[in-house]
Amino acid sequence: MSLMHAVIVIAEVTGELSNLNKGLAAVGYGLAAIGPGAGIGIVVGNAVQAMARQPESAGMVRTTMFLGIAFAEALALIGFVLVFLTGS
Amino acid sequence: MDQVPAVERQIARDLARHALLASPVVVVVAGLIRGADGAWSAAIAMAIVLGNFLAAAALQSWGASISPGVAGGAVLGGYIIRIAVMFGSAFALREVGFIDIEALVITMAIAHLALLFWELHSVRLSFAEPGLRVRRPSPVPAVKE
Repeated sequence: MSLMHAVIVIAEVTGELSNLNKGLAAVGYGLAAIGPGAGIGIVVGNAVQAMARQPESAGMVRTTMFLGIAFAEALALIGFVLVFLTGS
Repeated sequence: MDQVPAVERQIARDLARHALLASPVVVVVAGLIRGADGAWSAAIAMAIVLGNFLAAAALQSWGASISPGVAGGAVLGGYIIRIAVMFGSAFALREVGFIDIEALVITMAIAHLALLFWELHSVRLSFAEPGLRVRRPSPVPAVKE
């Protein structure tokens, strides 16, 4: 009886842990999205400043900005890959 | 800023060209590793990544054509919207029978990074003219005096 009880408790705890795992994955993704957001803000801010200082170099600055933003976005993508791999 | 060409669209066009070249290889490799479901998932992942790049380029060049402030707003707002759309589409596709969600998300991340590094290689020499290959400079003719 006690063994059966222990198995039931373990099953309940495992189920709770699974739910907790999904919740933690979602929280982790939220945290992972903060970094790229801040990074993109820094990239855009500096690019706007550079374009204001030297309008003739706007083409080069915008090229760099686009690639920098896309690289920062890759971090957010990696975050949600982890959500689907660990939380599902 | 109107006199500046839409460099983002040029980069996105170049990225699309690279993605179309790489897609068959990616689909075949995913199919060999994860079967038919993996191949379908990889193809859809490539389409999502490409759509993301094209949407980013369209938003940024639209914003930049108005003012730097609008460009900044479009970039940051677009980031939130595009990430939400990608997350939502992956979340919705998880329920589809023939989708291998692990192959889908891993292909998305790897394809995104690989295409960016490929594009970085393309623009490193022709920085102001993305997508164009710079030719080796011809030797300067000697000046006769």
